[in-house]
Amino acid sequence: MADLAVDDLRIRLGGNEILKGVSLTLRRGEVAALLGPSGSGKTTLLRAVAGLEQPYAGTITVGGTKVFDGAAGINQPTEARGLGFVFQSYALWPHRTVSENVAYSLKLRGVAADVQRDTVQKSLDSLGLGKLGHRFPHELSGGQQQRVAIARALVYGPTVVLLDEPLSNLDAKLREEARAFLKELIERENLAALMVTHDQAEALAIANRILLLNGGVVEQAGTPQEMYNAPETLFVAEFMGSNNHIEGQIVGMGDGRASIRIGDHLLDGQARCAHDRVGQAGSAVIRLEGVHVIDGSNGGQNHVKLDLVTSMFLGHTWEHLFRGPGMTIRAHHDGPLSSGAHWLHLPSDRVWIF
Amino acid sequence: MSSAVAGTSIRRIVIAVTALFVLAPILLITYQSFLTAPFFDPKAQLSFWAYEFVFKEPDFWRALGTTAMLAVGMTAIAVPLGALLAFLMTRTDMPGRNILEPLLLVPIFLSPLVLAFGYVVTIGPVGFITVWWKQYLGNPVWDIYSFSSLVVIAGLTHAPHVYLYASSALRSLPGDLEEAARVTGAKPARVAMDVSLPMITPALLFSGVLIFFLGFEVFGLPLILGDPQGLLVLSTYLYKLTNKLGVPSYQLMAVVVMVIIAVALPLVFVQRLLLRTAQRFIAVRGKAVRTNLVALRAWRWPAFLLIAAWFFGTVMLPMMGLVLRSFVSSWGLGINLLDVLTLDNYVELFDDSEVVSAIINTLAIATIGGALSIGCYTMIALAQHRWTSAWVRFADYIVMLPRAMPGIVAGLAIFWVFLFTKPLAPLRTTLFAVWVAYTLVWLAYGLRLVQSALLQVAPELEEAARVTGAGIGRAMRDVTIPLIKHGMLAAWLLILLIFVREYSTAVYLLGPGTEVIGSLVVSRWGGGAVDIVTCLSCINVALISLGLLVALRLGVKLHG
Repeated sequence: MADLAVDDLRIRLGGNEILKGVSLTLRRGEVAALLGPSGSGKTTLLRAVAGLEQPYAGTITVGGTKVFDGAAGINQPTEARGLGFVFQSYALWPHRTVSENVAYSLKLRGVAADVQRDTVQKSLDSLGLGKLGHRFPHELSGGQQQRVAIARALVYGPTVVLLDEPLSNLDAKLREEARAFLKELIERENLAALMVTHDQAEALAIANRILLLNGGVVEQAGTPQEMYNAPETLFVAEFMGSNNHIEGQIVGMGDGRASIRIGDHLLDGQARCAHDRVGQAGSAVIRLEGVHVIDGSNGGQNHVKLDLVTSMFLGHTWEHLFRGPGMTIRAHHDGPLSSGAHWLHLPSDRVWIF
Repeated sequence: MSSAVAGTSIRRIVIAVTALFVLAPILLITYQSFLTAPFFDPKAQLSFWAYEFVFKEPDFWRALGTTAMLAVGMTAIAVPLGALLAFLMTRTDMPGRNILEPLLLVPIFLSPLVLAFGYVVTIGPVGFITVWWKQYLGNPVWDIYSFSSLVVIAGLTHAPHVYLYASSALRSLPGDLEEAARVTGAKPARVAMDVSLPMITPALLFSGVLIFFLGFEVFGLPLILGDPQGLLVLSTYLYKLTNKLGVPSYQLMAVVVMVIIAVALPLVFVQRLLLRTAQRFIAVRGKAVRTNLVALRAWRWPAFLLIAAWFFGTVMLPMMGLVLRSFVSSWGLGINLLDVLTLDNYVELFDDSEVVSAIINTLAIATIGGALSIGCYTMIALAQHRWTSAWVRFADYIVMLPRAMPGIVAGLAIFWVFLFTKPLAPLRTTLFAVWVAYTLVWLAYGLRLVQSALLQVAPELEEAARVTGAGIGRAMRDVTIPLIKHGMLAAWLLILLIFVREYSTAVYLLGPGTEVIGSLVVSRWGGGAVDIVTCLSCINVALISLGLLVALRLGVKLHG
């Protein structure tokens, strides 16, 4: 049984339909990432699960208990849902010390003072904050504040933890460390974690499952590998990874494959569009790392010859910009290239045609 | 579930009580205005008689006309002056800006009544300056009791209100907007006219309406300066009406109050509308970069002298006269100042039991009463806090209504409510009635102070308490209130100052046990007790100055 289940949830804010029927399930030990552009409703969904936004239809079930049911009129207040929530800004209470921040939930539950103290200390120790209990939040670094926020959310042992862009307030270097730390913690504590992020790299790295939201609906849901390697729509393909996007005319289709004409070139690829699109305008999408620079063409399929416009050194690789009639293509390559025309291979199993 | 429901019903109860508290006096006044006699008179009947009577009175129309002219006149003086003060203070390299800054707001906290006394004893017919002038220069060229003096004094003393809004608008004006104009080739004066001034127009418009509105409310200045010539404005007309027919003429007073509210209420709504527009202008801000100040060059010191002269004329001159008068036994033509200097006035003051209890009552109502008022305002603010409901919009409108009631009107209304409601009657002659009236008059102001403190609390701090398991009430108690403690302390200090300053609200409630400094000086001035009035005024100013110093020391922002 799922530890968190959301079914056909709908939210309207000030006359705007923010969520238009979103469903998801989540089990212990799993991290689901809510990914999407700003305004897609991902934060609203997270807040609705916590009871901080008011849906008008659908159901939310936490650990087998219905906490919201629009049809049955069930609507548990936030404090009765027993969830952990890590806010984007951490929302540490500035008038309480670290220990008091963490202990608050235990105090609310009437835990004896000495048990409180032990539990808080254990929790702080496990997060590497052992000696900081007496400090006030403003005396901590950003990374430490984040850990306090996590400790506060987990100290009373909720199974479901909600994280609102937990890494966005950390600087780039710290973010990668915190990412690994967070994933390890969730697996170790056997939590069901729902996390909002707008950073696809973060979602790919940390999540077992990604839900990509767009305009209040789930555009596609799946494992990070599925989302990255098998996008179902142009939106998903464009949102994940770095892409080349080439406009052309769809000229043929069949057997899960399609071909598209761009100027003089004909590209073959995986069909991601309906059959009746033949003859109409379409798009070919290929990831930057899918493009290969080849020494010369044997006249093979999906080989194109383009002029090198400029090159950028990225550290672990090079990115080259090529241009020809009707198409501009960026490609990763492990070394610099001489100026002039080069042959590129766009493998047909890595080209998606929408 | 149950805590949420309980929370909501507490919110509803608080808002309902507030509505009752605000609407009861207004409804009673409305009812009274349609009666032929005071509401306690069994012979009172419903009719338009009182309206017909008042509208046939030439004095009423004269008072209405004078009020309108006063309001227009003081707006015409205060707005340009206040805008100029604001520009010089925020945008130029005028010397002495740091010293002048806190001084500019002083007139807001001084009682206009006290200032009026000060003017009378300084430049009145037998004031210090007038007498010396007569000795050396002949007949004075001014007449303190003329309408034009009233307008000028009202205009000068109200300029700080304009300064307040204009300077905060100028401060929040993004520097890059002006710099962009400079880069394009505009000279500083040109920038001021083409960029700065248009950008603060909403603030100026708002303060213009505010001053016009205050013009309808002024009571102390016209009572002291207009009365000797028979110059009446609506508020003093109302005050004089008390004994018009020999018997209590409540129905006539109610009609005048209805007229005042009918004029003030639309102005309150216009202000609310304009303030929103003004805030929208402020909201479009670029980066808060400090602009280069406009170099005044040769005008630096003349500009300083202009502000110094304004401050001298508006505060120092009347204050010095007042202090001096409180230390002389008598004053007039041909008296040598050194012969009459004495401390007796202050000594005798404490033999007057009424005066002593007025001082004690003032302190009590300002400190304890002020704290209780802030408690009430906080409850109302919390009832509206983070709640989207028609109740909140309703409460928003309700709390604005008392703004349309000048102090004297609210005091009268509360007096009637206590007279009308039998269970409350015994409390009418206690300080509680005065406190209720004060709390009502300053409801909108005090509430805004508390609300602006609440705005500083990030919503997720409260939400964090909710998710960890605290109900709405618990989250307010453990997170919201501790976080606004400093804001509440600042609000209490400001309310304390205002309660010390207040005079018109308690006028109708004045009696044994309810005397406060403000209402007592109004009544004693009527009896010609200049010595006591000047001493009490000095004590009043001393208390306010002390409070202001404490507030400034604690870093309280003087404008909410």
